[in-house]
Amino acid sequence: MRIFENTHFDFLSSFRSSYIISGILLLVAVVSLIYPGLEAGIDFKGGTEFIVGTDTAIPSTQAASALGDATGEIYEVKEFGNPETLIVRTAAGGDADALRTSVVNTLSSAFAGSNPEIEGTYSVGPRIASDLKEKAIVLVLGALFVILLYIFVRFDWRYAVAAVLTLAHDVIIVLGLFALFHNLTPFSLQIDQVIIAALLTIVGYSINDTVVVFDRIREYALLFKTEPYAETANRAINTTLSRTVLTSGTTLLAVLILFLIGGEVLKGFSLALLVGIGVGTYSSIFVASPIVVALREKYAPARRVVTASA
Amino acid sequence: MQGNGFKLFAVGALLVISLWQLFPTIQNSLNNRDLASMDPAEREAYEAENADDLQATSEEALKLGLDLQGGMHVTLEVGTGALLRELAGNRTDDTFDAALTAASEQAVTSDENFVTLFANAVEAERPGTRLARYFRNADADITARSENDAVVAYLQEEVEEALVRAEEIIRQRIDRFGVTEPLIQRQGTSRIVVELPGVDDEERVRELLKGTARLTFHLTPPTAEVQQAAANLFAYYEDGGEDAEADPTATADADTTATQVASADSTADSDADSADVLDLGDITAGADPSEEAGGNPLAAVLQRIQVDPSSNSPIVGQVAESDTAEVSRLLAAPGAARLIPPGVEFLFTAGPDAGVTADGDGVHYLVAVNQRVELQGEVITDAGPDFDPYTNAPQVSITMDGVGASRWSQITGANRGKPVVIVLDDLVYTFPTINERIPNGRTQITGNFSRQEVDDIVTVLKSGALPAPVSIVEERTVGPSLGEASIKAGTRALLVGLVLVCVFMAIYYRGAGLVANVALLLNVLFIFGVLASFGATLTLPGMAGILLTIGMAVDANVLIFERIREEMESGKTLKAAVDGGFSKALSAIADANITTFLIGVILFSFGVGPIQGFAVTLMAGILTSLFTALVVTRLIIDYLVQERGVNVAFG
Repeated sequence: MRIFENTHFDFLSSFRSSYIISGILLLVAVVSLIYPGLEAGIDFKGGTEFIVGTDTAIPSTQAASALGDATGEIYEVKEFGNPETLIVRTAAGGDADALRTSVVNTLSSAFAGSNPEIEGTYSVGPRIASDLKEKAIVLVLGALFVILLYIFVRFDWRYAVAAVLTLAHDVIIVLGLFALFHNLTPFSLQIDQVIIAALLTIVGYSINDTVVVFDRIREYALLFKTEPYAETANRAINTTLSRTVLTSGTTLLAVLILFLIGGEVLKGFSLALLVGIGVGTYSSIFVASPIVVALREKYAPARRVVTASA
Repeated sequence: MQGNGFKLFAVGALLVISLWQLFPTIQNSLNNRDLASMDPAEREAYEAENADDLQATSEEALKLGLDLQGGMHVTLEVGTGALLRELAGNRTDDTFDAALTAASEQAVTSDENFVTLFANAVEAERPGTRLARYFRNADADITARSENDAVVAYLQEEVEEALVRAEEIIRQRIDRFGVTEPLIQRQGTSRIVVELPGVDDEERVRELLKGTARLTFHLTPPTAEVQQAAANLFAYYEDGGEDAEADPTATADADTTATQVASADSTADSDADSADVLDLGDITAGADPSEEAGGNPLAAVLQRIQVDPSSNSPIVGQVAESDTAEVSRLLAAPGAARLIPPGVEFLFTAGPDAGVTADGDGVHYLVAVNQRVELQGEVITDAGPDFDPYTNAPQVSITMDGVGASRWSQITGANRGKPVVIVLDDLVYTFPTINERIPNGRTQITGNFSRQEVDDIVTVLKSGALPAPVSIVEERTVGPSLGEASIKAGTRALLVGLVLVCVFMAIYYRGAGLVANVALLLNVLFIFGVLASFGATLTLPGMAGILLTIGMAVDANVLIFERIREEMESGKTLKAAVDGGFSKALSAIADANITTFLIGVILFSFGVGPIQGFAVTLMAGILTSLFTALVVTRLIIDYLVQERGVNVAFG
């Protein structure tokens, strides 16, 4: 079976529309990052989260108001996979001891027969949270820098700049999606450590994809020296298209399975990967290559100028 | 096939090593399945008989993270502030207190260590202050004239030492608690991370970790004085206590108390609807909420017990467990604190020893004790569980050293007929009346103990006192059922993902796809083998990492197969196309995988816990998938094409 065999898509001219698509996506992402903005998970904000198993389904809104009435604190309650399991969040962090008792007592007295039981606890104090936040920022910036450096050494600075701009594009769009939808999904879309890991994986995947295309552009640039650079890029994208789609396909398949049946804990993580891999694949074709071409046309390498004048 | 000997050997060796490394894991899961199917008695006998074997396989098996097997992860922070206060002894002043508060606030966001923050805060509070005025210490060569730098260095050393000691003590306590494979390690300058797989008695562990085990013996103030102070306190709150308007938190609290009382009322007489309406009417009419609670916030939570002043009893009153925090708050309010005689403090009893309330809440006594410490836990040489000879109730018996025993003999001799209060971590365990002089330093601590509580008290007493109080700053517990659900979901996703990818490859590349699938299956085996041999821990994000690798693992093969197709289209023979495909794809494969591997390295170096687990599997997956794609696939295709002359289809 073959798909995309000997394709001759004119990516060159579709670059214009991809600028528009990326522009709109980025705009929406940036606007939603400002409002409603990202929702920090307890890793970065501090707070306590309980997973409570019950014998009878408790409506999450009623549970939240019962807990709020009893303690005067604000509680956020969501279903966790099934109606008999709730995830309960509150801002108090660190020592979860007293909170645990109060949650169990309040729920069992407010909902007769529910017999709530704490199945999991995650509690983070403000100091740890601020440490983790700092680490996460260092992590993402560090990763981008290392990639910038690697591509600079292996290719040249035009490719490096294009790669990092592409990665920033991908990360911003995925974050924007989290900002836009965090109030609407039945599962959690808070930004926590695991989401940071997902972002970096997206960065890793996207650069993997981008590098394969770059590699081919570089190879063809030596073969077809007289051809305009944009043509070369187009040819390279077309020949690697089959591989790009295939690898993305299997990876998306695996991640989709993770999202569908991988359990409640990994829902946000696998959604980030799902969207990120899609965006990463798109960007390696429609964002990274045009930037390289544009940079190449504007700042042509010295050797090429010599060839042209000879 | 020449030159392939080494490759063949490498593949075979890796296969054997992986299987060898995974053998205990398979054995372990078989054991667990057998054990689960036995009835409890049979299981216990079997476990006792094969304890060594079972433990050996479970220790060598691939470790599961806390998120998969359940357990507890706790980050403790050693209270540096309290330690500095202790080092300063009673030389503290307002500047010291203000600087300590400022440093604690800054510590939340700052990277600087606490001692430096404190030193800076002292300088900001009163420039030119010599730290040595607080921390003079002949043993450490800190004199009143020592430079601040020297004092800071000394303090940092003390803090470091305290952390090391705290870690050691916590390790001893955990060892006695008996957790298999606990992980205890220091993190940074003030934290200790404790991981306890499989623990489900969380509350007990928490108490065990936090207890500073500071054991002190106190005498009590004259009963008449205490009763007078209690009367004054109740009178103070009867008159309204702190100016309600001046203290917004007080009104807020009073409000919630009032709502609680009101809602409790309405549920109590739910059949009397009119009464509810009446209640509501009262509140909306704007009645002072505190009047709803009887007008006296202290009386609402503390039931005063008046005793005969000549009885020597230190009991002030009794408090329901859920109200202890509120009572502490009311007693610590500045206006109220003035009414407690100097040198006296009010402490709660540890066990609910004054009965229970109607809704099952344990009731504790509030007891007056002299702040002055007569004798400290340092004199204790041994502690052990014991039983009261008359009631057979569990108790703790302690033995003191020579100095302690003679001091104890003095105290008990001089205070016959009076109570002596034994306090552990600011909770009163027992306050027996001294009947006679105790000459030998042997004493019992009684209380409303369970056998388990006695064991825990013995444990903390024996491992010694923590150098400074510790608090829990991060906690993650996963119950066994949640862990099991995660394993199930993760395993299912892994298998389904693997099968689907294999089916896809077989359809798309046909013969070559099947070869890639053999490589993919070996790849999964190798990943687990690598994880097991490095003693890595498999977490849920780690399983996600493996699934992601499965999706991406075919990438190298796809790159190669696509190249081979291109070569064949340019008219080369199959053999030449295979050679060309492998060599030309190499550069793209290398660049793509090195970048992803670098991300794994970054995640591993800066991430913590589950993220490291993810990073490890990602890196292991990249290495094994490179190996299988470049070596295993090549071997099989070369064998088929060259040895057997099979016309392998590339789709």
